[in-house]
Amino acid sequence: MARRLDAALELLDRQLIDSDGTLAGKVDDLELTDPGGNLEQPRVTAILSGPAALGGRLHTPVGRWLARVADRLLAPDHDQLSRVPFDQVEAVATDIRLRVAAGELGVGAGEARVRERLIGRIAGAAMRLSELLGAKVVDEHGHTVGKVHDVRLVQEGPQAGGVGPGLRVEGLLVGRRALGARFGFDRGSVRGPWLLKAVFGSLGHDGHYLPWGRIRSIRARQICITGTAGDLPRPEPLAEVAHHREPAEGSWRIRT
Amino acid sequence: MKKLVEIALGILTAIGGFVDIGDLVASTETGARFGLGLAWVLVVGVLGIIIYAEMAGRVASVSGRAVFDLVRERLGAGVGLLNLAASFFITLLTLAAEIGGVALSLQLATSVNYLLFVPIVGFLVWLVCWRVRFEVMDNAVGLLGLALIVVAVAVWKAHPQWGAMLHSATHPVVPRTETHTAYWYFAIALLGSAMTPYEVFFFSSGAVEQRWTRADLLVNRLNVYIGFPLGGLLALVLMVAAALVLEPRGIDPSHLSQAALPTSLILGKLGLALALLGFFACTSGAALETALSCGYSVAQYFGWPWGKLLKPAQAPRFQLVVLASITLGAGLPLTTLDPIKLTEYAIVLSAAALPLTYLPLLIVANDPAYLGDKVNSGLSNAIASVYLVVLVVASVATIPLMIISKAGGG
Repeated sequence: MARRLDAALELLDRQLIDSDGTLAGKVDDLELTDPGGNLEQPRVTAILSGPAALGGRLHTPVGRWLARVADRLLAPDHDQLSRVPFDQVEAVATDIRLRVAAGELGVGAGEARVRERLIGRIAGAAMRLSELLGAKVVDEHGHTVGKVHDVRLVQEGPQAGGVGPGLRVEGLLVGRRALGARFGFDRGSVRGPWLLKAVFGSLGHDGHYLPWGRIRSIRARQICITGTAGDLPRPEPLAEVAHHREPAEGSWRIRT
Repeated sequence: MKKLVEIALGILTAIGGFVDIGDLVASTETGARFGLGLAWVLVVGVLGIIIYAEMAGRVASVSGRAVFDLVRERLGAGVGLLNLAASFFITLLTLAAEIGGVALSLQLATSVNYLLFVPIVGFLVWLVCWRVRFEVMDNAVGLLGLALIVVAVAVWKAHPQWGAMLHSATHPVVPRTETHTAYWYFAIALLGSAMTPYEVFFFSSGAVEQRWTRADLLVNRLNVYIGFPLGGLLALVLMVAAALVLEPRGIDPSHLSQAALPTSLILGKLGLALALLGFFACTSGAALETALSCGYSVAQYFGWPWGKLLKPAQAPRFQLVVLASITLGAGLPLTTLDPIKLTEYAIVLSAAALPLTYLPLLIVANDPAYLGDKVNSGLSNAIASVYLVVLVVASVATIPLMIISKAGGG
C-alpha cells in the first residue's frame, strides 16, 4: 500500500541529520516540481534549509525581522545546507536522515542566492511548499472554501533501479480552522489529554480534502478549483506511522 | 553497582541543582513576609516541575528530541520563533540574575563589592561551558549545593513548634500588613521559581546529549520523583527559616545576606560559611545551566549542532550563542541593576512564559508517532491538564497582578 504523509505535520520543521550523524539544520521548506509545468501532481524534489528558506515562510514583519537578525548575527558556515536534493534522503522519522555528509552538499553563497531566486520565481515549474500553505482556496463560483493547512504526499511505488523523487503531492487539506490539525489532533492515534482534544479537536474538524486534479490555477497565494466546496470529500485520517528514533524498526525509508 | 552510583549521583545533583537564585530569593522573601502562608505554592510548583520534567525526559529518551525541537515541530516556524524570542529573553534574564547571585555570595564571603566579581564570574562561567566536561560540571556544583542542608539543620536546632507551623502552612491566611494582590503576585513568583523553564530545557537537552534511551526511563523517573521533591524541600526549609527568624523581626529581605541570616544566627560562623558555600554552588550551577540553555534553545530551533559533548569547533554557532548570552548576562548586573530585583522579574516572567513550552510538550507526550507505547497515561494526563489550566491562569494573571500590586510592593 502506498504510504501517505502530511507535509506540514510530518516533514516541515523537522531536524536534518547527515550521514555522519551531525545535526544539519531544519526542514525549512520543500521544493515541489511540476514535471510538465501544467499542473500535474508535483514531486518533492528538494529540502530547503537555512535562514533564507526560513525567512520566506515568516509572513509577519516581526518574524521576517527576527529571521534577518538571526541571519546577520550568525552567518551560515560550512555545515549549513541550502538545498538537499530529495534523493539524498535516506529515511523519514521524527528526524530526517540524509545519505550524504553536510559538507558535501555545501552550496556556495552566490550559487545559493541564484537558486533561491530561481526557486522562488519560476512559477509552474518549481514552487515551494510554503507558497501552498496558507493559500486561499476559491471554488468556481468565487466562494472561499478555506485555507490550505497541509499538503498530502504519497510515496510512489518502489522503482526498480529508477532514480527520482520518492514523494508526490496528491492533494491539499483545506479548512477554515487549522490549529487542531497543526497540533496533530486530527489523527486518531493521538488520544491526547481530554482537555486538549476537546479544545483543539473541535477546532480542526471542518476540513475538506482537495485532490490535486481539481485545481484549475495557482497564482498569488490563491488556488481556484473546479466544482464547489460541497462536493469535496472529507480528509481521510492517515494510517498510523510508527516512527521512533531507531530507523530500522519503525521509520519508513524513502525508496529512490 | 555502577548503575546504582549513577542513579544516586543523579538524585543528589537533582537535589542540589533544584535550588537557584530564584528559590533563594522567592522562598526567603515569601517566608519573611507571609510566614508559611504560601508554602502550599511550593508544593504545587514542585509537583508541576515533576510532571513537566518527567514528560520532557521521557520524550527525550524515547524520541531523542529536546524541548525546543518539539516547540518548533508543533507550533511551526513563525509561532515557534516568537516562542524562542520570549523563552530566550527570560532565560537570559535568569542568567543575569544567577551571575549576580554568584557575585553577591562572593561579596558576603569577602566583603568586596559584588560588581567587581561580576566580570570574573562571567568569564569563569564561559570557561567552564567551553572546557569542562558535562558530568564533572554537573556533579561538582550539584554536590556542593547540598551544603544548603545546613539551613535544615539550623531550623531543626531552633526547636520550632512543629504543630503550629504545620497549622499555618495548611491554613494559609494573608497577613494583615499585606494586600491580597501582593499575596497572589508572590504566589506566582514562587511558582515561577519552582518551575523555571530553563530547568526543563537543560534537563531534556542533557538527556539527549547523554544519549538516554528507553533503558534510561527508570533513571529519569528516579531523578525526577526523588531528586526534585527533596530539592523542593530545601526551598521549603529556606522559607521556614525566614518565617522563623525574619518574619517576627519584621525584616523585609532586600539582600541575599538575609537569606543566610537565620542560619548564621542559629548556627554561628560555621553555619554561615556552609550556607554561603551552598548559595555559591547553587547559583554557579544555575548560571552554567542557564548559559547553556540559551545556546540549546536557539540551536535547537535552527537545527544547528549543539551540545557540551561536541568540541567547540564542531558546534561553533551554539558556542557563539552561549558566549554572547554570558556577555549580555554579565553586562546586565554591571549596569548596577539590583540582582535581587532582576531575580524577582525573572521568576515572575518565567511563570508567565511556562505555557509556551509546556503546551507543545504535553501534545507531543501524547503522540504515539514520537513515543510509541510510552505516551502519557490517563492519570498523568489528568494531572497535566489541571496544571495546564493552572499555568494558563497564572500566565494571564501575571502582568495585571504585577501592575496592581506594584510588583509586590514592599
